[in-house]
Amino acid sequence: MRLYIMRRFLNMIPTLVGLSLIVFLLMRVIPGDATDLILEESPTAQRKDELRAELGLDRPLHEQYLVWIGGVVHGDLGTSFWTNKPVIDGIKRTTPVTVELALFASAVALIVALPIGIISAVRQDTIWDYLGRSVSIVALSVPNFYLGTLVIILPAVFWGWVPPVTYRPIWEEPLRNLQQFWLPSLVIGASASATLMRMTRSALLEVMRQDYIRTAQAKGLTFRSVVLKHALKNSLIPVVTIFGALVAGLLTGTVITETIFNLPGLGRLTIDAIAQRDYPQIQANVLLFGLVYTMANLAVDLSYAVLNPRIRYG
Amino acid sequence: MARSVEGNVGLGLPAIGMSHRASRGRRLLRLARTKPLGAAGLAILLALCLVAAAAPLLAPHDPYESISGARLLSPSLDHPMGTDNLGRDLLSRIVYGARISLLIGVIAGTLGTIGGMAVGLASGYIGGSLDNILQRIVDSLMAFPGLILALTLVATLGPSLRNVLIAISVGAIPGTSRVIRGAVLSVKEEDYVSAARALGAPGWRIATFHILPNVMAPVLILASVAFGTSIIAEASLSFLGLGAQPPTPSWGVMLSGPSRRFMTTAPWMAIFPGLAISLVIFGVNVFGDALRDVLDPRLRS
Repeated sequence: MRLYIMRRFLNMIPTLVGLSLIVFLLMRVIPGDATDLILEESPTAQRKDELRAELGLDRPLHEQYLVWIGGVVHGDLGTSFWTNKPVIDGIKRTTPVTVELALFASAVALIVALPIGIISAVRQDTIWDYLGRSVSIVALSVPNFYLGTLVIILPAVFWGWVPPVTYRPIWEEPLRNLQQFWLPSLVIGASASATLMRMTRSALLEVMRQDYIRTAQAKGLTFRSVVLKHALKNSLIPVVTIFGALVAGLLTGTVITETIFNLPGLGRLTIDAIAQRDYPQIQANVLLFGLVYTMANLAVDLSYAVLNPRIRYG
Repeated sequence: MARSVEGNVGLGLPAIGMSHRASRGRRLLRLARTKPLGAAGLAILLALCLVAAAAPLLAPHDPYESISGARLLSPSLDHPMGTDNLGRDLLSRIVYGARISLLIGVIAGTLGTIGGMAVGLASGYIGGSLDNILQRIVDSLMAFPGLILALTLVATLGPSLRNVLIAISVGAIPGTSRVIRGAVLSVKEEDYVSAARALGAPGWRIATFHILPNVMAPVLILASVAFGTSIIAEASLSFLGLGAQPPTPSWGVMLSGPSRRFMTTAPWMAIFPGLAISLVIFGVNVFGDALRDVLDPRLRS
């Protein structure tokens, strides 16, 4: 097991190098170069050259990459063009918002999706199954930026209620913080739960057809214990796969909902950085998104090995 | 077997030996009975094509024209979906918006699928170090969630509809190519491929005439998925201000900016474009599900 985990970690290295190369190269193919963005009014060629030397842009590409990645490894992600402060400051400031949002949204997704998925599977082809599946297919079809807009508009039109727009950390004003977070969490959670539910249902259905389930039923166990103890654990493997997709959904979901609900999180920071053409910030954020996603997928693979001891890939 | 013929009809492809119009109609009816949701999805998508094609006939007004004295009107007979803050008829804008969504869905979906097919075929069929290199690049690209990758590409290329098209197409390649590669790897071991090789067929011929036709089922499924995700991606990017720019009547653009400012006085400005997007995505989803059931017997429950 330990060997397997180590091998998986080693396998991640080329992916991460590729990831950083893509981010690095993308930011180097921008039309024009960074000096045009920093120096507002028409700069002299000399001033541009000076700044280029200052930023290290006059060095060969592979040297630039090594300098940048060396910095990244040491926690130095560069300096923001916009604020002139280290890029890491922006990330530190916004991460708690996104993490809180992601946690609430996952909770919503799990609380909604698992029970409905289970009921849908054990009561297959009943009215409850159809109801659950209809809800999930509708939830899949409404893009989260529309759902987000709707949940702001409708209460505003009918009750004149709008969620608070200024962010307060949960440790300062918990109530106000929750007032601001519950709607965006629901929005992200809703779209994530749709996929999760479909996955739970089909996985459980698959397992319920296996021989050992019939054996368990034949030896007189209650239906409840057959489902919860025998079937559910074995149906978790495909469901866990969706965790990777869930994280992807959370990451992109936060980008959009943070913009709609005016939450100062990582997604919002990225969109603002794109609007301001703040390349060091974009670079760092995208790298972080990629890292989180890669880690999530690794966690999925490792949890396979835990849930199903047969999977160990030698 | 009967079901895969149905699938052909559903796709609008000529069903072998069933080109007679009456029997095709009967088969369509049977598709509607056995897969009512899939048929509904197909109907929605056909309606989208129709609306996009006949936009000038269907739209009561010019989508760009500000009608004087008609700002923020609520839905009425003259303006069935109301007007926006600049006095433009919303129904007309939504009708023209169908063109953008369809265009993005078809072009980005097709380019992404073809790109993925090319990479997957090369990777799976040629194999060796080429496979290794291609798959490491795919790994790295897949380390980003789709929208984030498209977002990054647009950030470097600059916000415009054309760049969104590029970003979405490129973003669809890695995932697609991975699936095609898998399909190619399994088809490659089939007897008829060995037979073709034994007969001395050149590699390109085996790849295009023996392997490619046999991986078309996943290709079609992936294309239907890519069509839907492209439409969502365009709307999302335009919504974030990174895609089509105002005054283009893209559904995503219509949902962003002004519709938020006037949300209490003119909620229809956001409600109708969003409904249009959701309806189309719903159509793509249910049609895609039906397509998968018909084309991929292994996934049939």
